[in-house]
Amino acid sequence: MHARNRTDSRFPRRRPAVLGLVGVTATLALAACGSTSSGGSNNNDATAASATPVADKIVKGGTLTVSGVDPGTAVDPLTTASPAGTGIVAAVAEQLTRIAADGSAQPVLADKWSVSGDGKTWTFHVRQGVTFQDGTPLTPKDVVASYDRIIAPKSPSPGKSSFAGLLKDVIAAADGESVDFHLARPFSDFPALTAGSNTYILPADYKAGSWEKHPVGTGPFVVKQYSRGQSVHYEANPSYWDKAHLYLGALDFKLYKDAQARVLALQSGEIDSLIGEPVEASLTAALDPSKFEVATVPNAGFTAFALRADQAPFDDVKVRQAIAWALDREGIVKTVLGGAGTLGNDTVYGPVYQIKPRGLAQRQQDPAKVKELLGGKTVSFTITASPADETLATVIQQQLNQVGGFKVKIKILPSSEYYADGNDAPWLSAPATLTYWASRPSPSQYNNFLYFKSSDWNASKYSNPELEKLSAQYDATTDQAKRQELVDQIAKIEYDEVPVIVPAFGKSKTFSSKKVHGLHLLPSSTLYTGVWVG
Amino acid sequence: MRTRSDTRRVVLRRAAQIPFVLLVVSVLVFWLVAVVPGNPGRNALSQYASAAQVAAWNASHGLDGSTLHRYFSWLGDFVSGHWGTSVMLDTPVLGLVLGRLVNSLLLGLLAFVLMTPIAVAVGFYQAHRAGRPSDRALTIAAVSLSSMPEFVVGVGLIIIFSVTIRWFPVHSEIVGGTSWSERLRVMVLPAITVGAASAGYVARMVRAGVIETLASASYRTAVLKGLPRGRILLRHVARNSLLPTVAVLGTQLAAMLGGVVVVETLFNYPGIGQLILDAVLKKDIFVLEAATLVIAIVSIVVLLATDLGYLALDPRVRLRAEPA
Repeated sequence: MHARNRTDSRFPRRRPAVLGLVGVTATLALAACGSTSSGGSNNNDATAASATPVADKIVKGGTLTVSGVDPGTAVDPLTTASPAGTGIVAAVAEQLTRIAADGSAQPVLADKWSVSGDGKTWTFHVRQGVTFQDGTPLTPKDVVASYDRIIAPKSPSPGKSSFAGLLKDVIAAADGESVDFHLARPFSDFPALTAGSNTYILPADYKAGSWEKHPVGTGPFVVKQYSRGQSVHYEANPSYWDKAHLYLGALDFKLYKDAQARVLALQSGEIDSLIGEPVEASLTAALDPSKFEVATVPNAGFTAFALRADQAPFDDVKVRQAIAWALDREGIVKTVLGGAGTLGNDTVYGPVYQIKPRGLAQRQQDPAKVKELLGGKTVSFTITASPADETLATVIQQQLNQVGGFKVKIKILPSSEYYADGNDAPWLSAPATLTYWASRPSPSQYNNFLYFKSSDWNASKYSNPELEKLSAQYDATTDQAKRQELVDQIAKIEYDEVPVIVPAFGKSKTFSSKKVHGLHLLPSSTLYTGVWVG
Repeated sequence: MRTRSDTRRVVLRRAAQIPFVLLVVSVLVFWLVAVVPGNPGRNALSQYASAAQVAAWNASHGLDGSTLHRYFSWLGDFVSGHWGTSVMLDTPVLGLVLGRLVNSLLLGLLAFVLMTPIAVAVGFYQAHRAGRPSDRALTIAAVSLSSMPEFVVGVGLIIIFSVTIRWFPVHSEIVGGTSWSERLRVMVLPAITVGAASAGYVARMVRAGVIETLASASYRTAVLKGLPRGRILLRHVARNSLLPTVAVLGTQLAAMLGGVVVVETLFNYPGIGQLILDAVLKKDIFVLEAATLVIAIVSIVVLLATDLGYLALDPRVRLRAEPA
């Protein structure tokens, strides 16, 4: 009797453990009707949340508490690729420029810039009177060293990809206050690239990997306590170059393991704002908008639905077009993005870019057109994606199967398998893939990555010399009217040929406590100047 | 009759097994990490880094070369107390794992201390009222508690105690200067969440054990002998009916001490379960090995203690094969 009891008790009770978490999160997400597609977003998105405060009401010295999802890795400006890692760094370190809400590059550590006649040398004037938090002044030497670190042959920085084949070298200019960037070819959006990933300006003698122990930069805050995986406590940098506009006395960056916990923390008053890393629409749907300041900003990032244009069935352009016309994009925005999004039109030119293509009708679900394009045949294929895009994959599958003419299956792989190494990784080689592309400062980057024959990331294996020629012309042109014409032509090719379907562009919705004022939020960074709490 | 030397032999024999268990676990973990797809360098640098960058990163973190070679070099280091550096967190593994283990032990103990008296009391009460509406209501409550995922219990507690009445934080933040009273405060919600599921289960075990004892001849004899009620309950009922419960409590405690990933994730409590999960996802091999082995040791010790407790409660039990 007892012996049997003892044996029974030896079997540990099954615990839901990891699977339980995933399952429940998924269930909650589904229950809230919708999910996000932006699993790997690398940017912080937001917009102006409240009216400009009256100057005499500003409360100085307050503490703002923000949050992110713990990246689970050591944070270093040179290599960080996670939204929270970027957020932690960006309170301390700054870049030459930042991207404004209208998509243009704005001065930060560079106060002005110009380009040579041949478009191949960009000269950035380094803001004078700026010091690092350790008191050493910012000089062109620091800018040169920061970029050398990124583009060095042995650089581990993911940000290197933005400059590969483009930036030849970076040299301090003769005037002692400027830096010359020498390019391999003209690139008119270059100032925007200096706001891209990992391009933080650090002291010339910075040692890669030492940032957590000695956080340094020229930014508005100084790290007072760094508790990895838990929180970062900052205080205002007393020698900040723009301290006239820095009203906050301190900043707390709390790390959570789970996006749902961030939302609960906002509700409990533990954090003041969800600015920074975007939160899935399905989770913020539970928040009462009347209790918070709600702001949205469009996001250049999107999920690319790439079709292998080099093999059957997608080597037939009509099949690709049929899929593009079979999608109910409004349904995708509603279900997948929780309503926070704009319709994509199968070009990379999202709503954040200054130049938008003209003359292309917005694609909508058109079953008659699909039937005509398919000519009576049935196309069978499998969509491969990572768990981040599972909802989108399911919605697309349902829409296509419903319209008729398609037999679609989906295959969801763990991220580590989907983004495996090598050119035969599923995200680069499967017949139809869904991959999220984080915000990029210049649309040319997307064109290069997604459509150029030489690109490692061209998942559709598409090749079109005409498009590459037009894109190079766009990069070499600074005249706005000419650029508009080139965008029209490039977009027309992308729209007609559809190697990549862009169903929608996300918008980031940000919720903040009503005691937070003066938020002026940007598409790819968080601006702490002008913000006050009270 | 059992002697003290019997007990000592059992303990020694178990202790002698530990190195073999650990060796097998360590080989399994290393092998699993080697065959499961995924690449630490890719995880660290994102999909936007080139293959060459990823390969260079792996080499610089000692992750190149053959699995066999890496295993033996790791094993040599580990045995001599050099537990290596976490490839993801760039931190010495020894301090990291032991710090997290202490956090998990504290949380597990708090959960255990909060849960056990309540569960045992409820089980006793139910057995006493078996079949009545109050017993049925408590059974429903207990079954619900033990079948509800921790994530749901935790979110429910947060909504009540963090969002609505704001007594406890969502974030179990433990940093350098956190005081002990603050530590206790941030541990309350996770501890209740961890304990809740076990509480329901344990209460049911206690109830079943007590009912069985109450129906036994020895109980009837004790009552008919006219022994005082309190004495019957403590000396006869409790001792006999808690036997299965002790075994259950042991396994529950081992599970709690091993860290409860879901709870640690929800509250971002820096425990060892979360560390193991992160290490699995990111293939942080040295952290994974150390954390798994440490947890294995804790489990072995707790289960042994459970068996010894069992032994103390029931003189009939022997810890080696019973003679037919």
